[in-house]
Amino acid sequence: MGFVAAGAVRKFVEMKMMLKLLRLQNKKGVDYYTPFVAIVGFLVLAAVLTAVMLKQYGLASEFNLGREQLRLFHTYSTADKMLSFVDDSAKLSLEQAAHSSGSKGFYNSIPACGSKDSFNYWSKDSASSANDCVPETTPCYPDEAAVKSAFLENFEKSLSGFVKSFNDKGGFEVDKKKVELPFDYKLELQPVPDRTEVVGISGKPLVIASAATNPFKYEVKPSFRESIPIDVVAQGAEVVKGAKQLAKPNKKDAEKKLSDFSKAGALKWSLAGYSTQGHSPPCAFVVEPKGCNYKCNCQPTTDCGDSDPKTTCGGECETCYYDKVEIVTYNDITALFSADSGKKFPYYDPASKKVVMKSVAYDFGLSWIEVTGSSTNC
Amino acid sequence: MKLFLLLRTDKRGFFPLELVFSALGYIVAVAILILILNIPLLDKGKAESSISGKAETAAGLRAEGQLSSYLQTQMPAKSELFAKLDWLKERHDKESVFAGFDVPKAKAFLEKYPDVYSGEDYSGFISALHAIYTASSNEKDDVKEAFKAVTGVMFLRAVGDGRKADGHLFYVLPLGVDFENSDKGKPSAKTSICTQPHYDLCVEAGTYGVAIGVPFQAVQLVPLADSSIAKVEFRYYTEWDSWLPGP
Repeated sequence: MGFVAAGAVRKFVEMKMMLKLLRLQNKKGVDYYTPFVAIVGFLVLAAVLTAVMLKQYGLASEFNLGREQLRLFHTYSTADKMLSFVDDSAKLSLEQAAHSSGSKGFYNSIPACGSKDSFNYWSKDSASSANDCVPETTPCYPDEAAVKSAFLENFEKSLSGFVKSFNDKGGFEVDKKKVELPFDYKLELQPVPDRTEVVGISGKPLVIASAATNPFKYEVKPSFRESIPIDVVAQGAEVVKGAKQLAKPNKKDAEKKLSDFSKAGALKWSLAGYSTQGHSPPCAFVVEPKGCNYKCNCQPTTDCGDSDPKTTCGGECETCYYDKVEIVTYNDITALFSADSGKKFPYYDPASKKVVMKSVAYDFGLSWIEVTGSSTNC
Repeated sequence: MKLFLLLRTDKRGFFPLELVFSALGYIVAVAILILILNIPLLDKGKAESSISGKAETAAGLRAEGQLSSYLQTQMPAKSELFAKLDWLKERHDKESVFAGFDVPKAKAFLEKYPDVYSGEDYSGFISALHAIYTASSNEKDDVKEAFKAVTGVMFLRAVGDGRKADGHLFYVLPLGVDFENSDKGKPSAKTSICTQPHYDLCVEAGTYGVAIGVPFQAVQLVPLADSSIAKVEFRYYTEWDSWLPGP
């Protein structure tokens, strides 16, 4: 019993000592524990907060509030502005292509029929001895496929000029990095009544990439559907149809026909030039081979002094044979025509290097032969 | 357990440890919350400048959106456009608040060149004006007047003002066109747009009584027929809030 009591007392004393130790009491019972825990706790907390804030400071200085969101908006806005530029350029290119195609008679290079004063011929006569000088007509009237092809070629050329100009002289920046417009369009003319409409879809995307450290990248494929209020293809077909009816008219007839055309349709036809010019040399073809003979290679037999030995002195001559030919004289007649649509667009005139408001006109020329006479000769 | 109970039930006034630990736990939780929410607390100034700077960017984006809408606006038909111009002239004759508009000159120009606006949108109108502006030096003033008046009537804004007889104050947000794109697509100085010589065309008709604040600038590039580029600059003032339609 006494042993058990002694054990309980020892346990009580140990517990009391432990309590003293935990409460950091000195012998007089002054409490050190609370200030100790408070100071240590404060230091630990300060260390944690400092570590957190130091990390936070770096983040705060680098990433401002809403920066990424606003950069996203700015990127969309910049892309939108660039796509708007493409739309505007496409519309202006339609206008330029209408001007260029029309003024060159839907030929972007000189056709087989030739040209005069920037008017490409849609028909031209020629005469050759191989064909007994019978006038032959070479037709160069553009068909619908040629009209569309010439128009789209001019459109693409004009649009590429605008895109190049944008990338070289204009452009926008995102994160101080220049953004460029791509140019790789698949173009298609759309059949829209009374309008010329082109749809273009880029094969390459417009890419707006952020800094190398930022994985954000925005890509969009530019596309457009633009139109102008004249139907270039339909008007082109109308002009070709009229041109075929104009074949080989005299000036008066031509003017009358043009007046009739103007009254009947929306286009205003006019004669831009009419000229008649004798062709030199005339055409000649053989009508009888060796049909002519005369004395030639005469050798003088006597000294005739200053006189012509062949005629006055006589002599030994050979008989020469020449072909009998027919010589056909003819005039080249050239008529230059213009059919004005009346719809004006800004047009850059390369000759004057100025931009002018000019109506879209379809220019072409016709050239034919008018035989004026023939004679037989050796 | 016994020890813990002893600590809790200290009757001699010692500071209870659980309170200390609770406080520590609370503070650590707040710190973790701050860390998770990513709230910058150390640099208040930086945070404020960040917010205000981004607000400015947002207003700039608003201006860009407005300019984009302007440029895509379809030009009105002749009857509508001329009716609006007549309204403007009548208004000007009555109140003289639209100083700088020469409506008769603008109308004469538009009669002479209907193709500059017919079937075009506003950017096409600018491209078409460029053709006449550069072709003849005699008509430059006419082009300027036409631009000013047409832009004025198309984008006129109104704010309510009880001092006015009909309760409105009208104004046009500044807009300038530089056919040479002198600043390479960058916004120009924030001084009055019409006093800057490189702007070929401009309009800024703030009627009196409308407070002028800090402009937010937007720039768009418009192609021209000679493959050059015109810069169009628009200025938006958040203070000039409108709630009524124009004429």
